Order: sequence, then C-alpha cells, then structure tokens
Amino acid sequence: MCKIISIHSFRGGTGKSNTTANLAAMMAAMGKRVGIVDTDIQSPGIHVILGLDEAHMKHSLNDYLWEKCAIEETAHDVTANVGTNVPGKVFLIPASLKPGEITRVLREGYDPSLLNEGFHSLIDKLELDALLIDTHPGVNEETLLSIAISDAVLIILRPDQQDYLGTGVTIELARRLKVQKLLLLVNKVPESMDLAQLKEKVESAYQRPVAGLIRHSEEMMLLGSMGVFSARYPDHVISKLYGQMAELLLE
Amino acid sequence: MSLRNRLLLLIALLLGAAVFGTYLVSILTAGQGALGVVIALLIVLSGAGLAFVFVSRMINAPLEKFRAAVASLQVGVYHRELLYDLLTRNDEIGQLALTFDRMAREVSTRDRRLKSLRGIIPLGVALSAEKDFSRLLETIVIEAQRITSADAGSLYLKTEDNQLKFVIMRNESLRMALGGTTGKAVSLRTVPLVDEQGNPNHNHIASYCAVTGKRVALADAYTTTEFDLSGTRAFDVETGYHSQSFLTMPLKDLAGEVIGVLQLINAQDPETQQVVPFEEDEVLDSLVLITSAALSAYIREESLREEINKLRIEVDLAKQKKQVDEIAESDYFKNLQSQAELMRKKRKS
Repeated sequence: MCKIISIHSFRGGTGKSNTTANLAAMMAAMGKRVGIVDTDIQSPGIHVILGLDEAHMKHSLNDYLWEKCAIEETAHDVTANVGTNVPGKVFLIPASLKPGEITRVLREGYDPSLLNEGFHSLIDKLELDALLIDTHPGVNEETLLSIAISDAVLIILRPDQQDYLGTGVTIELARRLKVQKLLLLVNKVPESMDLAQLKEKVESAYQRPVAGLIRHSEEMMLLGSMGVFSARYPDHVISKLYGQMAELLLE
Repeated sequence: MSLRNRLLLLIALLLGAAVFGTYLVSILTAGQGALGVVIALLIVLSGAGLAFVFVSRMINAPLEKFRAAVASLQVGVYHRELLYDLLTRNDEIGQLALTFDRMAREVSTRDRRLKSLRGIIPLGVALSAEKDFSRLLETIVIEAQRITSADAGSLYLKTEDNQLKFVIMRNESLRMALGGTTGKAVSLRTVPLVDEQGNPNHNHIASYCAVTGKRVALADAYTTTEFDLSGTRAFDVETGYHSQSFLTMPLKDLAGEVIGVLQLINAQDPETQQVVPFEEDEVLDSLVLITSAALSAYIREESLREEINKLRIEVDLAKQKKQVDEIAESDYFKNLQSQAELMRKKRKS
C-alpha cells in the first residue's frame, strides 16, 4: 500500500525541499520505491538538490497538467544521486524551469483534480511505496488538495512567531480534512535555544508530535545545496534523524 | 606634676625625714641610751611605711586599670571609659593612657573590619544565588551601609537608554526605605548620562561616576562646587535631613562596563555617631567587587532568560481563526472536505 506524504511549510525558506530529498533518500535506502512530485510550480527547487539539471529534463509536471504527456513520462530516476548501492528507487517529477511555463501556470492555473489523478496513476505505473509531495508554501488549492489526499503530513517550521501562526493555520485545516497522521519538524533552530524545551513547547502548543528538531547549521546549508546530505554523510546524527522520520511517516 | 617629679619629691621628703630622724636620734640617744634608738627607728620605719603606701597608690591603681583595659581589648569589648580618669591626667600615665587608647581603638577598628571581611565571602555566595532581584539590590545597599556605618545609601542601575534609574533608597535616621522588597517604588526621576547635545553628563555625582567609572568622595557636599547637588538640597529641605559626607562608587561588570552606581551618605563614627568623611576601606572594595559580579551575573542570566522566553509560542488565536475561516469557508475547501475521505478510500480499495 503506497503512502502519500505531503511535506509542507507555511512560509518559504524552512528547508522543505531539502527535507523532502533527504527523506526520499532514507526511504530508498530502506529499499522503498519513492516518487517525489515538485508541486511548487511557482518556484521549483528540489531538482537542484537531487542533481537533475534542466538539460536532462524531458518532461515536467507542467506538461502533464497541460495534457501534453502522461504523468509517468515526467518521472526522472535520480536514484544515482541519493547514494551508492541504494536498494530502492527515487523518481523525481520536476516542475518546469522555463519562465514562460511558470508564468502560464500563474496566469491560467490548472485543474487540481488532474493533479490528484496524476498522483494515483504515478503510484500505479511506477509501483511506488511512497509518494512525497513537495508542496508550495502557504495554503493554495493544490496544497490543500495534496494535504487532503495524504496519509501523512509533515509540517516544517522554524522557531519564530510568523511560522508559529502559519503552522497553527495549516494544522487546523489538516484537522478539518481529517488527515490521519500529522508530524512536525522544527528546522533551523538557533544555538541559543534548548532543543528539549523547544520540543516540549511546540508539542504542547499544537498537541501534535514533533518528529525532529534540527539546528541551524551553515555547514548543512552549504552541503544541502550541493546534494543530498544524508547520502553523503549517512552516519551523521542528522541523517539518522531523517531515517527515524522516514520510518515514522511510513508506519 | 609629672610622675618623675613626684618621685623626686618623695625621695627628697624621705631623705629629709631620714636626716630629721637621725637628728632626733642623736638628741634622744644623748640621754636615753637604747630606748632612744628604738624610738628613732620606729619613726624612720613608719615614714618608710607611709612612703610605700603612697608609691603603691601612685603606680598600682593605674596599672590595674591598664590591666582591665588590655583584658577587655583581648575579648573585643574595649571602651575608652575604662581609662577615663587616666586619659585626663597630665603625667606620663596620662600619656600612656592616650597612646594605649589610640592603639586599642585602631585594633578594634581592624578587628571589626576583619569580621566584616570574613562576612563578605558568605555574602557573595548568598548574593550570587539570590533569585529575587529586588532583594539582591536591597542587600547590596544594606551591606555597604553596614560596612561603612553610612546613615543613608542609594543604588542606581544603568538602563538601556543610557540613564541612571534610582532603584533603592534607604535612610536610617529618617527611617526611610524605598525600592527593593519594600514594594514602595523610588519616585525620584532618572538621571540622563548624556545631555541633549550628546555630551556626557558630568553635573551629577552619580552620572559623573557612571560616565567616567571613577569614585567620588566628598567630605562635605555643601561645600562642593563641582557638582549639581540641587536634588540633594531639595531632599534635605523637604525632610529636614543634612546630607554631608558622600561616597559614590561605580559597579562594573567583568568587561569593565558600568552597570550601576552605589552612593553612600553620611558615614558615622561608630562611637560618637558624628558624621565623618568616608575612608578608604578594603572591605567596602571587596563588597563592591562581589556585588558587581552578582549583579552582572543576574543581568546576564536575565537576558538569557529573555532569549529562552522567545521559545514561548504565542499564537494569536483570533488571527489564526480568521485565516482558517477564510479558507475553510471557500467552496473549494468545502468540496475538498467532502471528497477527501472518499479519495483516500478509493485509493485504498
């Protein structure tokens, strides 16, 4: 049974794409066949982390939404970029990087129900164990759709007041959409904050489990943009944390 | 008459008596034989006896007093009343008594300081553990007053906007205690550390002290022309107090930055209660060092606590509800809500 998992944050810059890529890598390392859909059509980014450059992009999610191709034709196998001898598979369904195509989406929009159908045929055709949806920040229609059809939602927030408010909004909407599993990841935690205390505060504020807390790290930022961190440093404590989160989400 | 002169007089008298005695003996023994010798000897002996009593009264009585004074000094209860009548004497005994009294008082002072100094370390430990900021501030002033026998004491703290804020004010003889744990705030206005042109404020003693980081000691505030003491004068007029001797000290953190100013007023002679100038005092120096450390540690801890407080998650629930409602009331969301379960079920089947 394939799990659909949305990775969401209310604002941009929380490290959402990075987390998605790392979770996919950990799942593939467990032998899972994983699909990643970049629904952040307005500002795509996860392809950079997964090492897929524009020249090698045959089709994008945009082509499918404009009914130019089938959804499986947009899937790119990026397993080679999430580690060596990986038992599973990672497929990326990128969003178009062409400025014209981006503005067309913004101008015309697309049919969210088409997205839903696409997800399902992708799961069938690629025999996926997990489909990770890298959502657009905020709560637009396709994000709400992604959340609505997900078995699990991972919300990423930074410890600041704006993210706290936005996270509260998303959690409430997810509750109304009857999402079964909702986990929180507190990312980019400054050195001055105590992790245990922060975990307790966030959990008591939202009454939802915090699956992980990750400190802000310049090193991580630098490495993160160059590739999948957990593929390069599988024994690092942060990689282990991604592994635990991947298991929690697949449970 | 000096002691030496008295003794010389005594010897002269004795010699005179002896000569007179010998003369008497020679007259009496001329006709009386042995009886005359006996009488003459009796006269001489009684004279010597009288002299002995006189000498012992002159020497022994003061010695007894000195002994008592030494004993009281040893147990730390020396009081100059013990030597009272000796101190007024003009002779060597009187001079000795004066010297002894001076030494004894010096020893007493040193003794008292030693005791205070011993109390400083436990005080420092207590202050560094003090969780109640008001009590911490109050204790600093009370202890500084105790060490210097100051009738009044005040504490200012430097604020973030570069002002000195009155936080503690105590005056024993006016029975006045403001700030700290008293619950009564000090209503006196804050002292700016820079004037409107941005120049350092050297007008007030406290601000001068805070700006320069230097101590200021004044024997009589009313004779100084260096500082603006209008505030003090107004206070004195209002309360009938007389502010005289001042000692104003900066409290600095480990980096040497002034964090507050401690001001002591009217040091009192422990015995006479007269107002005297403040003196250099190692114990006070130690107190200032220790209290500054405790104060800056508290301030540092406080800013850390503020940092931790940022962890406090305060979601504006009204705002959150508004945002949620805006979305939840849309047709799209309502539709999605009814479809969501169906979509998930369809997939699972």
